[in-house]
Amino acid sequence: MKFIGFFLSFFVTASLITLLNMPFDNIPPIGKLLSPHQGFWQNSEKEPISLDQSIELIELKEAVTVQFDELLIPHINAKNNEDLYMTQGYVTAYHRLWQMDFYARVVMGRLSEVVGIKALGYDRLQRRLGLKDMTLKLHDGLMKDAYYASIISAYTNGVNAYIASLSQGDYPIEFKLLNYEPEKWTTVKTCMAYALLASTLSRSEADIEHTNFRKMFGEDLFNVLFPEPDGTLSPVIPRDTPFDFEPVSEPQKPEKFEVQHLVNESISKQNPLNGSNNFAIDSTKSKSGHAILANEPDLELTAPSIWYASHLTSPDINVMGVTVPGTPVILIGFNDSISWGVTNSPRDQVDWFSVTFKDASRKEYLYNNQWFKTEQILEEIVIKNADNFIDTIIRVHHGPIVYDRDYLSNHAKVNLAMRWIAHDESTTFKALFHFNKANNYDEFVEGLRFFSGPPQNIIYSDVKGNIALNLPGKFPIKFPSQGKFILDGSDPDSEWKEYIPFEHRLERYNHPQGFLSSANQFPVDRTNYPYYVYSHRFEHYRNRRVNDRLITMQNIEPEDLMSLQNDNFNYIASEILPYLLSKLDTLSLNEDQNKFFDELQNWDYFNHPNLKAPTHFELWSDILWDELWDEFDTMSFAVNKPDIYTTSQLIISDSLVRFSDRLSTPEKETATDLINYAFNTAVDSLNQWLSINGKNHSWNEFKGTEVNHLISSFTSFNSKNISIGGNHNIVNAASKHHGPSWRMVVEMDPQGINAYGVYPGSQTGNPGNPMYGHMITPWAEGKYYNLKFGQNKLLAADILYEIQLTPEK
Amino acid sequence: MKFIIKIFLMGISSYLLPFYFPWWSIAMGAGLISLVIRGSNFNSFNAGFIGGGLVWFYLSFTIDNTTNSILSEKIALLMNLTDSIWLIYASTLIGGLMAGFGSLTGGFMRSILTPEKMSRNEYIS
Repeated sequence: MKFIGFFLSFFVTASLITLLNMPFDNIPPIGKLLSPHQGFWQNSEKEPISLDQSIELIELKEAVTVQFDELLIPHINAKNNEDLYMTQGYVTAYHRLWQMDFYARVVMGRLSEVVGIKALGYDRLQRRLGLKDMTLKLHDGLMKDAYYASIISAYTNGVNAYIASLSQGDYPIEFKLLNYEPEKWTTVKTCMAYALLASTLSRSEADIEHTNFRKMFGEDLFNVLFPEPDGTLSPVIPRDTPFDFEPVSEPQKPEKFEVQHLVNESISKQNPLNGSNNFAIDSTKSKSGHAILANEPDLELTAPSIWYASHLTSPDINVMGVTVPGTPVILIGFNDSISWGVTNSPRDQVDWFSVTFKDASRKEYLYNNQWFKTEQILEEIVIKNADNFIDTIIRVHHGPIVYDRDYLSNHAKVNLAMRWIAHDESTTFKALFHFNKANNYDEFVEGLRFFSGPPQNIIYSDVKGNIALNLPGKFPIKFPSQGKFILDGSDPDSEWKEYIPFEHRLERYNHPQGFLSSANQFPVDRTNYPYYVYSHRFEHYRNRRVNDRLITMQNIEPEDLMSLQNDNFNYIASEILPYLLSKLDTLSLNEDQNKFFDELQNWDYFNHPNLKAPTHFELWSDILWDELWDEFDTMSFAVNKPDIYTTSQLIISDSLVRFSDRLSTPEKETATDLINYAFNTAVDSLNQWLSINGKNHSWNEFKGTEVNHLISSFTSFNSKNISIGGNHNIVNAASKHHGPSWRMVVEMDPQGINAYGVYPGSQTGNPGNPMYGHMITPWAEGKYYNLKFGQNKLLAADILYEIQLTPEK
Repeated sequence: MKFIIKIFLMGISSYLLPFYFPWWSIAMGAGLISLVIRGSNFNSFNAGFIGGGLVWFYLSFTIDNTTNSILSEKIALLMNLTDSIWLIYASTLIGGLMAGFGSLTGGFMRSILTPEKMSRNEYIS
């Protein structure tokens, strides 16, 4: 009996342990998760900061002080740079360790390891794009330079010291929910941000979509629907800027350099809503006589935020701003002499080369009428709860073959190699370190020389009242239209030969108008600049609004630039709505339609959160756009729809060609028919929305801006229904999932600068911290915080928490 | 009295052990205590269940209370629970069951290792 009892009891105990300690598919071990010592309970925090006040770090040389201000921004004071970056690594890991691990996995194509098979497609793409190789190349280059190697190693050591200090219960909640442990941080991971940003910002291209469209519909229609801007509409570099240099001659345009393919599906691209604004005013425009700079990168709104703010001080450096967690430098920020900010500059940085293999073994490929050897790489992807997947990637001299018989290739007919400038060894890190320490424009320009991409409009201002805009980076010299379509990979003449010299870059240093600005628009008046500039998509609205405002604004104070960053003027509506309203058959409107119409008729084109008119306009114009380009939805090959600017120009000029016809009806609709149909549908779909949601349809409610956690299934870590105005193509670019990810305004007072900032998130990445997401509401309301620097320097009363790090005895 | 001491000891082991060992070490701790201190099977299970359960209840409840359920509410939502109180109940139940069954196993083990002394339970049966 007692044996039976023992075995039964032992069996039950062992089974309970096994069951409660075992993950089921995506459910973490429930006993572990609910254990008060090791489970999620340990991530519930009463105080905003739970670090020990005195920490010993073995590699540290001298004592370091870290003061956290009321926003939890660390002000790090070190006696040498290695200690400084080691501490930056330590405190960043304290706030964002899981996010850092996640980004490293994104770049290395290792997400499937922790989230399972649903990420396999994503991992494969990341590896085919070569993000890992880029990171390794960048890392190896930097580590050859003793100065940068010491910074990268110090930061890495700091992260690892933090990881080593953790017990199971201390692991960030995401590790527990996904049931894995933080692994050792490496110097390679410390270099991951470049690939992450390059993939987010410089991979926008439409070569395949364009090739498809042109093949099916011909060059003439292509040029109507996808025109190249001439750069006269408020370009980044003011139109009166002279370029008096002797340009390097562009390559001869060959007779035949493109290939005709039809590709069914293309790889996912960066989101077109990734954009940004920056502007600076000089002493003449400013009330105080000091230059003021403003920057706001518009990116996907995520929790934790893509940005982490810090203030780094050593005898050699005094810089504050934001960076991507895991990266030992300030990306956007200011020191006591200069400030800088970035917006993405859309430039075609990717070309696709069609490759012909000799045979199915893919060991040789055709180039310049000869057969050359290929390189074969086996990428093994570890997948949670499934067998490993091995992807075979072939490389040729152009770059990795992304589209091939194993990946999106129409039954093995197409092999496309990717030539991406980001694949070349990047030195952008060095540029950023120079910016962090620059005292004046000359030193800043020295840093620009190292900036190899992703292409940015880099705005600058200094305490002497100067402002500047630069577009540094690596740009191949192309003959017109080179790389707009798929190129012939066997033809040496289709390749890039030389790059635009640094001295020939787009640059503007000060301007009589007193300001400079950029917002992802076409960079320069084509007739002025001797080199061919191309991208398939540019901003056409935010830039004009910013410049319109800055021209009229005088005696500017920082608050005025804050209002401009939060400006809700809907430029699209101001251009197209009067035309649309004039085409409406207003006599036959019913009551609902009349109310809808009146709201629009009396609207001043501001997408303020509490208004209903923006909801009406966005609904109507979205439906119109969908119905207008419904022909594109029926195409079985990859194709892009014309952008909003081209579309609205075609509508206003009544030159929609045959596209106004709705395919779902037998009639041939005219543009006016279509506008009326879209209007009626918009009213119906609003009524439907109202009956489903049961609340009023003010713009903020209808848009429902969200900040979502990086793991989409962790829904309770999200912030929903954030009350904010604006939209895409509006200066306050807050759409549903995208928006200003960091707003910064800096007044360059030589007596000590005044800086302000806010971002939709929090320094802490822990959903169990009382300050998780605390800046989201102020951000939505257009509020800013004083950044504790210069005149506003951190006083004893502002210190929320202070820690001392000392060398281990 | 022995029962109370047992509950107390199991509470202490359920509190301390997971700081150094995996969460399920509370079963081992409770088992070890029942191996050393004699008691009926029924008693052993109850002592573990009460000791382990109470400590896990206390720990999860205090954390939840001092942090205003800041995280438990979010975790409850992820698990489709309406109220974070269920997570405290679940933690309590897991702590109780683990220590309870660990203790019961230890008790049986004791009766196997000390055959000359009949436990009361066995006598009744």
